[in-house]
Amino acid sequence: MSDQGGSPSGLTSNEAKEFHSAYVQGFLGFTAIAVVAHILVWMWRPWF
Amino acid sequence: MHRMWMIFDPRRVLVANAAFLFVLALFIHFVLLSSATYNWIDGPNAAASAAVSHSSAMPASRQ
Repeated sequence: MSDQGGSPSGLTSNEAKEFHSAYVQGFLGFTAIAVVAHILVWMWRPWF
Repeated sequence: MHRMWMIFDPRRVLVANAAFLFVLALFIHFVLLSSATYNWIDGPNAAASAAVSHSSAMPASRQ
């Protein structure tokens, strides 16, 4: 398999790298919001 | 790690991920709403207090 295509998804290695950085950024943003939400709920009513 | 996107179609993964997280969030929110402690709309033990606090024509001492 070369880097210029022919992958199962059709993405090249550079395209995959570009998408991956955006995906990781979205994952980290979602996780940060979830952590803040959990901290707020813990301050409201801790569950342990 | 980024080479996984050469195997999995990013569009399918994004749609599946969004659908899964939305259903999971909906599920967790409804579970919390059904609990006594974490119901943020009616407050704690709303069902129990609603069952107790019925109105009566008689004073409490004559019931």
